Amino acid sequence: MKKSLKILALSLIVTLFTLSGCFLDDDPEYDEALIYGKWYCKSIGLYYTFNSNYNGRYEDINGDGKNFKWTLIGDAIEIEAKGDNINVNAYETYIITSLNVAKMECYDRLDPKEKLIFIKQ
Amino acid sequence: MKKAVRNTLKTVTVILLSIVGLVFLSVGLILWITLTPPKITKLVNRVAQTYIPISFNANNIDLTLFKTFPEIGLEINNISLINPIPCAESDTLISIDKAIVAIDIKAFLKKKVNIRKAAIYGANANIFYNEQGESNISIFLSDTPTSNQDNDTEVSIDLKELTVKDLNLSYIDRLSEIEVYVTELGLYLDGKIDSDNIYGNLDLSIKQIDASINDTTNNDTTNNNTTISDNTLTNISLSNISASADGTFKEHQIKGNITLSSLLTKLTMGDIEAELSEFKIDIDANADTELEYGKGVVTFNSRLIELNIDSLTTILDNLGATFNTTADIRNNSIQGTVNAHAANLHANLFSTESSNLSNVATLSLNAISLYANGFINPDIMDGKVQIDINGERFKTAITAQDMNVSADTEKFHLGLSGYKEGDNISITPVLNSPSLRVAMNGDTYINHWPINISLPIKADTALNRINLNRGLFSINKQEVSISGNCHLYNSDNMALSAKMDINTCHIEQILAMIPDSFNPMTDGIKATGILSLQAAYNGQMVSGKMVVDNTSANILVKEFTLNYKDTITALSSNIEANLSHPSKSKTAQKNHLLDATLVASDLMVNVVDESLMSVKFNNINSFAQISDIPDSTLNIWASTIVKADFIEASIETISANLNNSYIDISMTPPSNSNDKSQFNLEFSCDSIQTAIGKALGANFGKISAQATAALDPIKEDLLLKWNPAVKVDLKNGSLDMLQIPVTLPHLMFDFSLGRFNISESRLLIGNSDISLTGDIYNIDAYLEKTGLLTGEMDFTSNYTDMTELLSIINVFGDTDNDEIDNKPLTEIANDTIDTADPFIVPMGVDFILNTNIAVMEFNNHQFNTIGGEITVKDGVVVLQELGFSSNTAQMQLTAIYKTPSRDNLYTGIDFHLLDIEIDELIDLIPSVDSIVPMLKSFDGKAQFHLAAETYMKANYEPKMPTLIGASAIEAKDLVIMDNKVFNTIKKNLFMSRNAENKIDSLSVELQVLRNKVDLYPFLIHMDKYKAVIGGRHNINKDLDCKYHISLTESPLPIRLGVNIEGSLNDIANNPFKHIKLSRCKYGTMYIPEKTNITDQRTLLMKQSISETLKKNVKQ
Repeated sequence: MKKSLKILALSLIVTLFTLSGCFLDDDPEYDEALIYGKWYCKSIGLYYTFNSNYNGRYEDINGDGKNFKWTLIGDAIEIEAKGDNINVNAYETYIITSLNVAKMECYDRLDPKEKLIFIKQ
Repeated sequence: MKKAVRNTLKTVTVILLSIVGLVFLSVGLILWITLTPPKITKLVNRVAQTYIPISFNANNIDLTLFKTFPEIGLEINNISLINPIPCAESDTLISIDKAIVAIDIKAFLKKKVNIRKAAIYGANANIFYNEQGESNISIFLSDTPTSNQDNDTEVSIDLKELTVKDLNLSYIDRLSEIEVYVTELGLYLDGKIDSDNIYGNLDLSIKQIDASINDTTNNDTTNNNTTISDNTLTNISLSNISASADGTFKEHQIKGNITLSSLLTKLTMGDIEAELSEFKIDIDANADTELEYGKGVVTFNSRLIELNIDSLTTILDNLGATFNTTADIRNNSIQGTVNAHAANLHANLFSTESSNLSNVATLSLNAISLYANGFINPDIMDGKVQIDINGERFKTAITAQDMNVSADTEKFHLGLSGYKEGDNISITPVLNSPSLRVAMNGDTYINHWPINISLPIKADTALNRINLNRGLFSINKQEVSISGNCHLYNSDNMALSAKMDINTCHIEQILAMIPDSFNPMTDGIKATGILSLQAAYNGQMVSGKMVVDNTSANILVKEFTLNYKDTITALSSNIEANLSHPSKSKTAQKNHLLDATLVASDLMVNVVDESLMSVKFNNINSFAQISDIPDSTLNIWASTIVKADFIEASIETISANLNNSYIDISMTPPSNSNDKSQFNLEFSCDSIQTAIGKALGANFGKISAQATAALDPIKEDLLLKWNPAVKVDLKNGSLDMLQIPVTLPHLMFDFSLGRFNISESRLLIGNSDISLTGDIYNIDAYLEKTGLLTGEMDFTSNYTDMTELLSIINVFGDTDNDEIDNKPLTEIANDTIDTADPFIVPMGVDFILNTNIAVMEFNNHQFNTIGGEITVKDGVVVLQELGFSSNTAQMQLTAIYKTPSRDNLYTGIDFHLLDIEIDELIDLIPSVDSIVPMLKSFDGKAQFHLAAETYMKANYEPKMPTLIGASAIEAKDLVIMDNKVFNTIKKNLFMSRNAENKIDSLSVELQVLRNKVDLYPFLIHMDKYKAVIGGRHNINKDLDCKYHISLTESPLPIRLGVNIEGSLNDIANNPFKHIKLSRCKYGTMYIPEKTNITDQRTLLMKQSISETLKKNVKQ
């Protein structure tokens, strides 16, 4: 009997975690306006500027960088950079975990383990 | 002799004869009237008053027999002639203490007065002319006949003895400013003088003669009508003069011997001072009375002669000379010889510029001897002369400012021979010395060398025509022969011609003759050779200016060697140079040119400095012409043609050989102020061989080149300044510098600033053949920044072995710099950013290069029909849609390179390979294997798309924030190769042993953004398994990566995943360590009904990247 209870309890726990995982998959919504402006991410070494018209630019301290278009889909900031003269595009996606007027915490979707902190400039 | 002196002498003679006549007259009167002294005295005085128109007085006149025995004599004491005139210092004209006259008594009795003896003792004569020309002796000079002509007494002179003692004579002429004082004149004449014969002895002694003449010359100046007087005061003084003479005049023959001597003779005339000490002249003469035949010997001796002329002093001691002359007028012949000798001659020239006298020049000759002989035809003045002067020692020194020149010889000979024959004159001066030394400022210029000079000159008597025929200058056995002609047309115009000839002259001896003071110029120069020179000149002298009609020179050097400090050496067995003026060119523009030719059978020049440079010519023949040099060198016309059978040149290990080369260079001056100087070059040679060391070499066949240039001095840019136009035609070139053969069958181009046209260029490099043709325009406008540099060229090749070509480039790019090799990449980059010299695409250029390569081989792949367009425009290079195909693939390439600034370079590439085998793709682009490592596990056809761009630093290091790129690989029906990775996957996923290694389709997209390479998840369907693979690797030192493989469909009840993490090298070395099971990350990505929003976004991105890349493919 004890053994059956233990198995049931374990199944419940597993089910609970499974359900809780389903809840965690729901994307939180962030205020897009908080993203506007110029941010600096030390670990990347770049300044990101998000304009309200969904254009933006990232650049290093020397001004070398690229223009991009961005969108906020749920908690994901999708950035699409394009070539200046060559017809080529590339994407990067940052998943926001925390956002306020001064600070944004996120991670690269392809590298969730590395936390990125953006400081408003 | 001046007229005044002649008058004076005439007057003195008349006075003496008058006195003698008076004496005879007195004797006659005495004999005739009374013999008592008072009576005689009275009578003589009275008679004298008759004959002498001035006051005459004589005291105590007496007859004497004893003193004049056997003649009767008359002794007269205290004779005085008084004739006062204004300004005279004395009224007395003549005073005689005592005079004795002896007359022939027999003749006297026949009323003839024949004077046999006369003696005068203690006489004074004062002859005076005042400034008005009035003289106290003028009364004797009048032509009024004397009263004795009316007398019937005949007076004659048959003088046997004449004695004069203590005669003092003064002659003062205020008008002519002449004063002469003769002191204590004594004379004794012993002989016979009658109407037919003269013979006897004369002894004369004078204690002192002093004379002064002030010569006044008036110079009228017409400008201001003033008169300037030049006074020249001449003083002559002779002391202790003695003279003796004996001679006969009879039977039409004159014989005589005269000896004259003076202890000291002084002469001053202006700046001239002369002094003769103890001179003596002996004259021994023999002539007929008609003076048609004569013979004489004159001997002159002087102990010392001093001559001072202004600042020049000359001393000649122990001079002895003998003049031997024979004159035969009937036979028109006068001939004579002169023998002279002197112990020493010293001459000094002093400087008068300062109060301190200093020697300017000195001349010293020792043991001088002179011999001269000659004859003359006095009728036509033809004659011949030969003079030889020999001396034991000649020494001279000249000091002028800072220059001291001295010359001396041990022995010397000066010769002069000449003749006159009709209108022709010939004269030949000769100078010989076995040892001449000339020094200047302490440096020896001629060092005891033998010298011979002979100048045979012929001329006409009017000196309108002068000819020098082979005049010889020989110094230290080096001979120069000179000939010349001078024809004088008038005082302002003469024609001149000259020739110089050097037969054999040894260069080493000439160098040895160069004085030590020229050491800085000649130091280290050693040269040998035999020099011959012929030079000619023809011209005119017009109004003092030399006009050259023509000149020429021929210089021949045999066995020539030159060594300069062992750094420059030159050798030639035969060099000949010709120079001539004016040019023989008939072109009007080339008038008055110089022609020059240089011919050498061989010539070798070596220069050894830090490296060895050598040039060798065989049979070089050059010809040059040059115009007169006007105000500017740019206005010179010049032309040079050089031909050489063979030229061999080398610098260290670099060498070049030219066969049968021809160079023609010309320079034409501008024809007007708007024109420019033109330069033309024509070059050709049959072949050129060049080499750099033993490894590298290049050979060229026939080359011809023509170049022109127009110099515009205003322009600063080199090309604009010269505006060159070059036309080159080169055939059969080959390069022997690589392991593969390189040949250049034909190159032909035509370059000018307006158009650079390569009409033909073909280069064969190993297996490749390359041709570049086309035009470039507006180089001048581009340089002047007024227009674009435009052009279009075609690069064509039938076959290009790119692998081979790249191997050549790698050879050139190899470096042995270990220091750089051992440095970290980042340090190298930092080191080189500042010093990097990136290629900057020029602005203002609009250039198109059309490529057309039929077949290109690269990495064992063959590409066909490579065609495209490379444009360079405004700082951007674009390789536009270069299309080509391989055996199985179509390819396209577009590339951009632009350089906004040195530190901000840009490059972009868009590359497509369509329908290419995967292994071929990896072969072509090995980096694909790094990006998609599993790709090499597949076999099949694929499409490969790649696009990327980045900005770069000066050292071409990418600026990572600007790096963006994407690539897509699409394939169908792929077969998985049986390799290690497949087996690992199969083992980990529990695949069946019989699982087929086929994949229906593959669509891989990856992107590069900054330092991240993201591989978008792609699906692999194999056997009963489906897997999705995706991940990222970073562009860093380790290329660490994080890949994930999700097993989305399998026989297992659960979905599993595998993570592959670590550095790329570590994964390759030990894959099992880095492969770990994980949850299935992409489980629903390729199940449309289950796909979440994140997967949808990922697939949309993947699709966007793929479509963007494919849009670039040109259909």
